[in-house]
Amino acid sequence: MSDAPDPIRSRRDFIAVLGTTASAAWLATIWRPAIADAQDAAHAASQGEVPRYRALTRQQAEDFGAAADRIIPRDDAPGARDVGVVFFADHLLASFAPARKPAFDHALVTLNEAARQHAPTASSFASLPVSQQDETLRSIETTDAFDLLRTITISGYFSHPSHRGNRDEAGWKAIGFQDRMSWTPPFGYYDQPEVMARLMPWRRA
Amino acid sequence: MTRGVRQAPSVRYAPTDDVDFAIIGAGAAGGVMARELARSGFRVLVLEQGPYLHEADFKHDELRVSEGHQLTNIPSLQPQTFRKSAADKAERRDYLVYGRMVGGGSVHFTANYWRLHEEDFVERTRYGSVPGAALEDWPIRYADLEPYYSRAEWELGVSGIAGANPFDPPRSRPYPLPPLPIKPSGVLMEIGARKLGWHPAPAPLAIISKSYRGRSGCQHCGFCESFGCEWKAKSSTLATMIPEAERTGRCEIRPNSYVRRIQTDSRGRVTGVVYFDAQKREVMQRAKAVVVCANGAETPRLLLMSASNQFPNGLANSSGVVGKHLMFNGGAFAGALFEHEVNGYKSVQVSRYVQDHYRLDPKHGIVGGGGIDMRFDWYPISFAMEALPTDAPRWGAEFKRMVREYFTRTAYALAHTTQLPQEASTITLDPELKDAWGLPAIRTTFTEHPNDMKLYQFFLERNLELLNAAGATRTWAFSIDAPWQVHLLGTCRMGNDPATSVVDKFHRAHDVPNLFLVDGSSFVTCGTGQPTMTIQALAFRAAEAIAGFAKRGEIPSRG
Repeated sequence: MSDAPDPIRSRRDFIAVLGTTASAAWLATIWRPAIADAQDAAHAASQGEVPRYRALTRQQAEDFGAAADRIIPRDDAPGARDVGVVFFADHLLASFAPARKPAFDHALVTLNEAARQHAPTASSFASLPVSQQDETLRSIETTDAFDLLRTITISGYFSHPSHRGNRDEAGWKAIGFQDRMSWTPPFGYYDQPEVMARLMPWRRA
Repeated sequence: MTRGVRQAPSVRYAPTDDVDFAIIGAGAAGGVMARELARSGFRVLVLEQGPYLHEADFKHDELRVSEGHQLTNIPSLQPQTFRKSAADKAERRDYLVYGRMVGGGSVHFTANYWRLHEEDFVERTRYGSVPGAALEDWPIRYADLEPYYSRAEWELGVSGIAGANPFDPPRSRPYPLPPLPIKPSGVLMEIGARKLGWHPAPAPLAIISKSYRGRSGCQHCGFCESFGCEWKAKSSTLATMIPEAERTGRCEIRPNSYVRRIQTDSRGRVTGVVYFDAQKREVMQRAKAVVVCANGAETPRLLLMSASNQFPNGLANSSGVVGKHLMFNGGAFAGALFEHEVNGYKSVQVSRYVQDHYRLDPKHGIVGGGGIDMRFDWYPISFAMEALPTDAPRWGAEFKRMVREYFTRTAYALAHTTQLPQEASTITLDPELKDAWGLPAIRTTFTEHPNDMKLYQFFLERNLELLNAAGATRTWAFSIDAPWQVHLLGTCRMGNDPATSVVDKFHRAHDVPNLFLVDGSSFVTCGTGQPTMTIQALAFRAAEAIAGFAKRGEIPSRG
């Protein structure tokens, strides 16, 4: 990338750009809840506390977390559970979308039934080795149950961190997305002046 | 200026006040009507079913606008049904998405701001009778609307370059603002389109590129489509018309007010409206005249819900065409991977478009045409959910690898096309399903005309051709079956003949002299592409005409 003027990176810069017309109260309403939520989640994680769930049972948390980690596994970027996708699911189902809880419960029943088809003695999906977890997921990947688990996993990995997933914006960092209030050109490779001069000779005319 | 701070309404009307105009819907059209009628000296009340949000309520929070339906209709409260034809039983399906807040769809739209062209108004003359299609000419021509297209551009704030698109219809004024900067996807589009002999141009957008009328220019944060603009750079009616209407001291915006019925008297004149307030209490508001700007689905629904002994088939429906001829604009969508960073998530979604296929050569045997833009209108969640090639893995290590590789290096071509009006494509009241207020749910009946499918296929091929010519390392097509629809058009079409149309050329209901319908429902044909600008130009034109009628005593109210 080029050395464009430094875009706005912080809340302070954001205020500076807004200038004196901005109301402090307005800024607070934008940022405070998000900051508080992120701090809560970070605090809980840093203390190594035993997680307490509001919507999920412990077994559901384990099974969903195991499935989420197969849907978005760890590579050189964090996996689903690393960024708090289970906390996200709990928060989502407890407060944001409680109407989806029955479908979520059903999806985990479906998941565990499929797991027992692969390993009749398995106590749960989470107890399977990952190769059998993958086989299990493959066997249900065209179902609504799988779609819901996938949707919640992806949402938790990539949503705004105020929803308790995407911890430290790790999901966004993994794909090269940055959430800012402002950017300036060039935005990518192709709109750099020297590249445009080469690729778009007609622009000079 | 008090940015984003909620202000006390400048005026409040009592339900017993006989306001000059009650406007139903504070969206793209309703916001314009409110400002224009209030500025003309009339007492205006705007009833909006959604909330009154402000910039402080807008966040870069994908979940809040998708799962949370912050800016759009809420399926859990307003469920819908869908069927392909009247022979089928409609099933629960939330097929239509529309703005539900003060500002309506103009808050969350992508802000593509295309004029229709001369030939969009005379497709019946051009194509004659097309089997299965209810093709008609509009009762107005492009020249009638041109002054109002220009007014919309200047009053709202639109960025573009006059003359850059050689297919642009004639215009009386240049754009008030220069175009937004070219994006990487725009560079790729120019390269590809020029290679094919097409004529790419800066996309006209209702987003201000520089400061304009007290608002600051676009900061390129990238959250336009589906989101509200924290910077007020998107020229929504929330950021432009609505505050100006309120500043007259004659316009009250009343949010969370869900109209269930338009009342008429024994002489068949509108006397007011009945709505549910925020506590679901019924309120009867008196008005001398009513202007419905509720969108192409809610407007016909409200007319059908307002049936009475005098209007047994629904208000203003002696023609029987209320709710018929539903159109959305069609389209086709394809994606491409490029070698270097595109970073489409930065700045506005679209910076270049082409209209070389706006009217297809008759040799193709296809009615209509379309325009194509190159864009990136994904955010991190939606990208991972849906943006990869259709044969890519949907989960696991390879899925994750591809999401990580593709997010910053993809661009997409979207065509916006004609869709033919058909009598059997309708908005009706579902006979069984009710919404959270006990009102009949919207039932959509819709199947594309065979011509539409040919058009989508034609444009899908053009999209892939464009992306390949732009140097893509890989391209892929998306299904041309739309999972949901926006652009709700055609359901109360305008015309000169009361037997075949609902409103006249000034948007007055043929059957009811003090009822006006001004929104996408007025469209006779859907045109070739993006409808919002035409909706707003129609609103400026209608407001001028309606203000004139009122001043000359030509709007008879209750007896």
